[in-house]
Amino acid sequence: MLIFLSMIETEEEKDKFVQIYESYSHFMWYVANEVLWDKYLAEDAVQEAFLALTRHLDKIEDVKSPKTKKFLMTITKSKAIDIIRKEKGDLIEEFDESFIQEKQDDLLHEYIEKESHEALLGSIAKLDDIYRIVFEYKYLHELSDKEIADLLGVTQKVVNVRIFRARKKLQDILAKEGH
Amino acid sequence: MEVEKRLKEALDEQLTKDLEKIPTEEEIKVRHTFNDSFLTYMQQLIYNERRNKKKKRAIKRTYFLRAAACLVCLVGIGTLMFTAFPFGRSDSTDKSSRMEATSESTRSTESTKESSDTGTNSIASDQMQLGIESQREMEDASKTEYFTLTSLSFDGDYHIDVSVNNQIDTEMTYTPIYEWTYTLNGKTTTTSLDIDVEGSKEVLKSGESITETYNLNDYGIKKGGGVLEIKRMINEQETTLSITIE
Repeated sequence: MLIFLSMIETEEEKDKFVQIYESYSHFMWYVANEVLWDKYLAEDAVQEAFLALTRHLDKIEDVKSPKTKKFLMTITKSKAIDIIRKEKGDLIEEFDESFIQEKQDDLLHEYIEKESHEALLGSIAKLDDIYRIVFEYKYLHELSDKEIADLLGVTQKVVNVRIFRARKKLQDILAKEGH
Repeated sequence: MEVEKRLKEALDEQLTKDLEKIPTEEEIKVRHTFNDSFLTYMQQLIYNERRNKKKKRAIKRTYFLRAAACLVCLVGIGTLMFTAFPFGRSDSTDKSSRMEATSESTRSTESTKESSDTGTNSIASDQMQLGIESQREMEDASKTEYFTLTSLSFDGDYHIDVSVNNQIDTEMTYTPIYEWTYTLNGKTTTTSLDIDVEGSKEVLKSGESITETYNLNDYGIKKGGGVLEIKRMINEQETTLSITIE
C-alpha cells in the first residue's frame, strides 16, 4: 500500500486512492470474479485495475458517486477480460480494415436513430464484453483513444480497430433485432 | 452527437442494471477476504511498474543527453573549423580583413616612426653636434666658434638655441640670421629674410655671448632629417652654421 501511495504525487490523490481502496476493493474483486470465476485470478485483475487507476485518478471526481463505481467496474472488467485473453493466448488483434468504412457508420447512426431505447439497451447487453468495454470507455466515461489505449495496455490503432468492430457488431445486432 | 448521446444513455443504463446485481461491499467481505499476499503482490507489481518507468525515463534521458552532447560537440567542431578555415566568406570580407591588417600595420609603422621621430631628438641632437663639430673642422675656427648651436629640442616643433660668443679681446659685431637653407632628399629650400644687414649690426663686448631661440617650424622644418644652414654676419664676415637633423 505504501508503494502504491508513493506512486501518487499529491496528498489529495493519495487520500482519494485510499478511499477507493477501502470502499471498492471487494466490489472490484466481485466484478472480476464474475468474469473469471477464479478468486485468485480475480485478485490479479483487481491489482491490475488499481495499477491502471494510479495513472488515471484525475478521472475520478467524487469517490462515492455512482459514476466512480461504474468507472471502476469498467476498468476491473477490462482487466479480467485481459487475463482471460492472456490465458487463451488470444492477444493478437486482427487488423481488418474492411471494418473501417464510413458507410457502416452511417448505417449504425441510422439504426440507433430508428431503434427504441429498449432495443438499443438490449443490443448493448448482447455485445461481447471486449466491445462493450471499449464503448463504455469511449462514450460513457468519455476517455480519449490514448487514455483507452493506456488502460487496455494496447496501441491506439488497436483501440480504433476495437471501436470499429464494436460498432459493426452493434450494427449487426440492431439489424437483426429490427427484422 | 445525438446518436452518441443515446449510446451513452443506453450504456449507462445497462451498467446501472449490472451494478444493481452486485452485492454491497460488506456482503462481499463476508464471502471473500484478501489475504496478506494480496497486498504484497500488489506492492511488488507497483514497484516493478515504477522501476520499468524509471528505466525507460533513464534510457530516454541518456539518449537525450548523448544527443545533446553530440550536438554541442558538432557545434564546437563546426565553430573551430569555421574559425580555422573560413569557408564561404566573401572576398570583400577577406579584403577588408587584409586592409584592416594593412592599416593596422601602417599604424604600427607610423607609431614606430613617431616613436623613432621622438627618439630622433636626442639622436639628432647628438648627430647635429657631430655635424657642428665637423663644420667647425672645415671652417675657420676663429670665425666658427663664435657662432654655435647650444641646444635642440622637440615639443611638437623643433627648436634650436644658437649663440654668438665673443671669445676675443675686442668688441665683436653680429647681425641677425638672414638666410635659412634647408635641404632634404636633394631638395633645397632657401628662405631669405629681408633684413638691413648693415643697419641691424649689434655689438658684443669681449667675453659676452647672446643666445637666441628659433622655432624651425617657422622655416618649414617639421620633421627630422635634412640639413639646415643658417647665415649671419659676424665681424663683417658671413658666417654659416650647418645643422644636420636626423
